[in-house]
Amino acid sequence: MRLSARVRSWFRASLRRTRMEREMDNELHFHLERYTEDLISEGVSPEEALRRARAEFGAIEARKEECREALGLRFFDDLRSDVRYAFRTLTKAPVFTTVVVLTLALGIGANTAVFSVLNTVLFRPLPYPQSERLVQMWSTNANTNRWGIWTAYPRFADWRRLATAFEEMAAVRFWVVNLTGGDHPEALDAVLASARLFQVLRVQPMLGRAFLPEEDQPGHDHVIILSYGLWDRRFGSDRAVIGRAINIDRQSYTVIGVMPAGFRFPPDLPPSQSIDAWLPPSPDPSRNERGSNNYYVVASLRPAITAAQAQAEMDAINHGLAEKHSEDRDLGVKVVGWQQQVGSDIRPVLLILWGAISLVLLIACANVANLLLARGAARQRDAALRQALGAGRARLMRQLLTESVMLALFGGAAGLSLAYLGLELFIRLAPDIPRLTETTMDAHVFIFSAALTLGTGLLFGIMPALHGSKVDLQDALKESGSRLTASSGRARLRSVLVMAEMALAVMLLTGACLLLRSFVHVQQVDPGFNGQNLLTAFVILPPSRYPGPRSQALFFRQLMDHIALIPGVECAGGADSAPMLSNDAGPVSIEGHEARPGERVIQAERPKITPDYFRAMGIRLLRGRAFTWADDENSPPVTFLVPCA
Amino acid sequence: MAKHLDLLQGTLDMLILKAVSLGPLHGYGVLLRIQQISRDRLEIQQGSLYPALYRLEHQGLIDSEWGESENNRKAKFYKLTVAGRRQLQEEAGRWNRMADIIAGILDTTREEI
Repeated sequence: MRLSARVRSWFRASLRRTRMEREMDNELHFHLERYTEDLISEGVSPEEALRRARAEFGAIEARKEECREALGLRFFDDLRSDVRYAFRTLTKAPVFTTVVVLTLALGIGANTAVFSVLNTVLFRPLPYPQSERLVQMWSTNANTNRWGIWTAYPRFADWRRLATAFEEMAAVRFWVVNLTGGDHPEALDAVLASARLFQVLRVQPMLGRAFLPEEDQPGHDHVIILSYGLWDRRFGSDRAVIGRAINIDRQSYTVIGVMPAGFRFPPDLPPSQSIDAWLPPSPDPSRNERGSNNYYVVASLRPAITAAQAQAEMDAINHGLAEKHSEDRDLGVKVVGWQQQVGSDIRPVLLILWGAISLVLLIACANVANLLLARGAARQRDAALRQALGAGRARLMRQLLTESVMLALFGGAAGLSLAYLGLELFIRLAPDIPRLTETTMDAHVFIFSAALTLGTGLLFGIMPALHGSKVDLQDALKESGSRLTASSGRARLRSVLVMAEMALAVMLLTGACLLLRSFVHVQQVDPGFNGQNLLTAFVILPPSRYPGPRSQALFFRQLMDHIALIPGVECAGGADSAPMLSNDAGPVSIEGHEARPGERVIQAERPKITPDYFRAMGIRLLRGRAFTWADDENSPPVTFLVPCA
Repeated sequence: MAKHLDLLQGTLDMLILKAVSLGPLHGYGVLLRIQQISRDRLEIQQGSLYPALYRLEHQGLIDSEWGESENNRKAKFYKLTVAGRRQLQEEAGRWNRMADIIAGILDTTREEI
């Protein structure tokens, strides 16, 4: 109650300031007049009475100042005059001000931009309702002590059936399907999903409906949900598409829904990629194999259930499954908050970047502090004069700090605009950071930026303020005084700052050089093939049309011939897995070679390739010949051994 | 010596509250009232009176409004608020307890220990 009285009184005095001043003046003069009159009536002469009244009352301006202080107005009065004074001095030195503001704008702007990304990728909730309850579930392998393998569909189905900690659970897998019919065929980036995916995400299609519970079962699973992009591109945004049959991998699928434009799933899909369609796992031939760990499981926790409780339940379920199924024997399970999971790969990179940018800001601070100190020498007399007129050291410091914070505010404002532009650039330069397209400068970013600006202003201002307020009146006011002693302390301080700045810069440079060196090293590693001017494409043949190896080989032979005829194409080759994109290694044994006990079994990748594959990839054969289309299933099998570094 | 008793820190506020508790007063009136009830034994620094009045009003312990003075001039009159009355009681109680304790200590004789 007392506090509210003060706040009310402060507002009254602040808002009706002129009236308050006039009344105060009237009140104090009324007092003086009455006292003078009383003295006169006691027999004192009028002049003497006036003199005595004034003497006993004291300086009227000082009394007023005390009254204003009692009303809590002093702080803001001082602030206002400091700001006005600082503004005057800063505009009087435009070059200095511009240099400082630009320096700070760079530091604060870069920091704000990186924080915006960090804020989105690491801290912002996923773009689904109640996303804090979403978890991801990995299978883990106790034998290799490696966690984070995906999960086989039958195993997921058991989880979903047995677990009680979750409202909904769904499994998804990336897939490519062929859309035919219409003027041209198109390979679609699709997600195969179990029926409850959209219940887990709590997202509904913009048109039509989500999957029904039975629509991931054979016999019901020829339904498809389109992305907004595909609907717009391929179906001309026709609302009548719902219920229409379309050709997917030469089978008929019914369109049941269209997702809204902003819907992104999975949330960590790089901005350069997008998903065209969601459909049940019907096209996946491995979905009934318990040994094929190909699905990514997401679930929503029941209210008031923690990830740790869910983990405990899943551990028990997993134990039971391992007894029943040999494929599950070495597998564990790990429940992780989905939001943490999505940013976990990029987190260290962003933190390093943030650290580096913060060093840049520190260097900027040291630089500005240095400039302020250099200027402080010229303002020593000014400070001395103020002190002689009664300003205390704290008051002088406050005035200098006000100036620093004002510089920081200008820098921060310029920095914000710089951050806005920088963010656009960053999004264009680094398209593989998940959720980058969601990055915006929200309230968190503005609060961060404001705090950063204020902190920066105090940081670079504190030393110059401490130093600038330490005035030896005698020396400073004497024109020729011993300037030397005063400035030697300042010179020492400035060299300390320069040293700190150098140290920071060297740290930053060293870090940058190391990163650059790693980058160059990676570039220089000979991968065994020549990736320059090489284009790749991904083709999946629908099993319904190309049932056996012979028809598939024929297709690829024709495809290679066709591609090779395209003007500008030197050579075309195919393989069922590309280097660095798969690790489909398996054991290899050599006929006639007796494995010695303890000898390492050779593990090799075994891609199946077309004849021109080596030529297209720029892989040199050491000896012998490349095979031709004549080496078919009727001739003796041939294999190539490729030496590796 | 008797005339220039310096006021203890914080005592001025209590005396102002007491003065206006007896009826609304303008600033100069507060000064006269305190001198009158102390029978001129206390001298108040005139300069410190107004900051104290402003502080008390700021704290919501007294309230002010403009009115006519005895000789028909406009003057600002102060009166006690509810919060001020409570504050005055508390401070008076504290002051009396303290005075008792101090007096008791000063009156102590050798035999009583």
